Amino acid sequence: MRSSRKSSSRRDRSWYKLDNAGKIYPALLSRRISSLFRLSLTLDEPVSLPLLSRALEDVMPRFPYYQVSLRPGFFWYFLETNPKSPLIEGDSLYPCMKMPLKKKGQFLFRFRIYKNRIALEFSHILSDGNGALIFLKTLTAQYLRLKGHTIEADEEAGIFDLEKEPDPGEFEDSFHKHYDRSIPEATRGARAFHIKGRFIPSGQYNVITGIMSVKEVKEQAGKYGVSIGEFLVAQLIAAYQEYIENADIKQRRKLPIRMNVPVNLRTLYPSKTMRNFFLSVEPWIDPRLGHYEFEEICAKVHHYMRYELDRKFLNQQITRNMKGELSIINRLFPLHFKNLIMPSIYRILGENNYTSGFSNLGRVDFPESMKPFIKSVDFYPPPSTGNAVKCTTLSYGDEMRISFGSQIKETEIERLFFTSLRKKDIRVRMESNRIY
Amino acid sequence: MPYCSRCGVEVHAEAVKCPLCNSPIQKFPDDPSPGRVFPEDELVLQRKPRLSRKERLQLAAVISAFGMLVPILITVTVDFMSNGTVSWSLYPLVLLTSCLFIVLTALFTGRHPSRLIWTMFVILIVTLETMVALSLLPGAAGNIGDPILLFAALCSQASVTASLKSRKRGSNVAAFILIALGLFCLLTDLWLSYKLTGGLRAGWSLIVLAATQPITLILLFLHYRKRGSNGILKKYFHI
Repeated sequence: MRSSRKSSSRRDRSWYKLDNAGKIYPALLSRRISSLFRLSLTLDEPVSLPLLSRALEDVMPRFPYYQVSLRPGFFWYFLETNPKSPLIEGDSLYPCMKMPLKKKGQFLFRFRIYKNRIALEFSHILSDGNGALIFLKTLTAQYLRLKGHTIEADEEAGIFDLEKEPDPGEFEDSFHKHYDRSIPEATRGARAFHIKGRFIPSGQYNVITGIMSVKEVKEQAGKYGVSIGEFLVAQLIAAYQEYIENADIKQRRKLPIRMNVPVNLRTLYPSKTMRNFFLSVEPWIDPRLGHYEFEEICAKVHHYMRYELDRKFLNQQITRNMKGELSIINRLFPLHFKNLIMPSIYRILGENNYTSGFSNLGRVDFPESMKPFIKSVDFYPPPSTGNAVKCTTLSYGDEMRISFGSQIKETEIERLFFTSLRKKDIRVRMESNRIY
Repeated sequence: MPYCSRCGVEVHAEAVKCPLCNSPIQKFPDDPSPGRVFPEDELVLQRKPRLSRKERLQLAAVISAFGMLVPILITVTVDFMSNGTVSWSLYPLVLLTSCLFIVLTALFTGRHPSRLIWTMFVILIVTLETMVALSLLPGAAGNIGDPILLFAALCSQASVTASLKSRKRGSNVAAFILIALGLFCLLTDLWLSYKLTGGLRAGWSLIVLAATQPITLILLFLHYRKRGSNGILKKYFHI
């Protein structure tokens, strides 16, 4: 079965259009912006490269939409099936950097291993965190099977059955499916505050991870009557507010602190897609109006999330994004012209309007049969220049990991964030690739 | 696991510096004081004491005075060294002194527009009359110039009063400025024609009025039109 799938995929020269969210990323790629985010698992023992390579070969036919490379067309990029097998690399000090995604025959993801760790660096051109997590989980399950353990497929827990054919719904661009041209577009927010700092050399990417107990964070979040995710967003907004106050920024230079919080739309819309399907909610405060107490920030974030996480409201955002893509003027521009103007459009309409990103993958779960082998899970944000510091989080078991990815030398936001957690009696353990 | 004493976070066993604040990590075989309270954050930036408004104004006045004094001294010295007396340097001397007073007036009465306008009017009148008295300008300059300065002050005062009295300020302020400008041109034109020809005939000021007053009407319409009836105009033309 496996060999027949492999041979069919080798003959396959099919191609896919990029989805609505993925269309912008190829134009943004540079030495500093790689569009790669990273998910990693730490196993209970060192990873075997030959076994993992075999597991990857076994898994790839189940994910034909990831067996692709990026190709330029006249008007848009597209994804073309790549007949090669992806290779596994050794890990590096700087994650998510230096990957020539536009090179012919280059996969849009890579696996990297180091000691007990399997890391998947995955381009947003292909999919979002949900798709990448299922891919990584399924690969790890197959790796453990090859090691002799019995791991059952469990689609609910994100372990795909390798014997099944991919569901057609997994290929779909759900933005297109849920686009309603008749409803009015959502408006965009105004310019937001941005942290300034000295950039580290291109090719480098600093990550600081704080590890803490989910129980302790939950207890604190409960005190403010908010969920863990809302509590952490509020904490990040409070860190930026403190930064502005400490830096004594002039009133006229102050701008709203607005967070970009991606939301997985699969929980709100009936979709099985394995491609991008997320939108952002943007809780914010305006520091020009005065100092916000933490309780006030929590309340604001809580209500913003409730207000914006509504299908009708999200439909408007989908319409706005799709109208941009479907506009006849945009479509008629040749690709190279789009590549020239899209970074500026993204900066003006996108990154300028939010201070930082906070991506919460939530609670990562594995089937009971896998849990003894998985020690920890980690998630790093994609590097960005517009938002120099970005934050991601996930939890596994009682361990919550909050990672800050940054391309600037200063660590003031990270320090304010983690020290304020520490002041709330949450014990924090740090890990970082900043040179010790 | 060692701790950072500034941030209070646990760091890697081999870490020599805290990844958050770069402080060296002090290592103890055991926790020296278990259960101690979290240390007060030492990294909060100490704000520099800011100058009060009065001090800032005084500093600006001193800087402006020295800024004017240097060119005055240079011109007077050059004139004196080349001619053995102070002759042509009286022009820059009077004008720079006048500029200094205008700057100081703007600094100290900037929050009171009416006071600023009329103090500047007095300074300019005194400057003009001084130049006439020192024979730097012909006597007719004073006769013609003084009323023109009065028109400028009156028009400025009218525009400021109208703006301050408006309940809502926006494009109407721009309209008031244009009206005042047009009025000033008209009065100056009539005054000049009266002094030069003996009759009241508007000439070039009509061209200025024709160019500016339609814009004034548009601005006033945009500001005072009925709200909410035509959002597109507000969207593209609001100030």
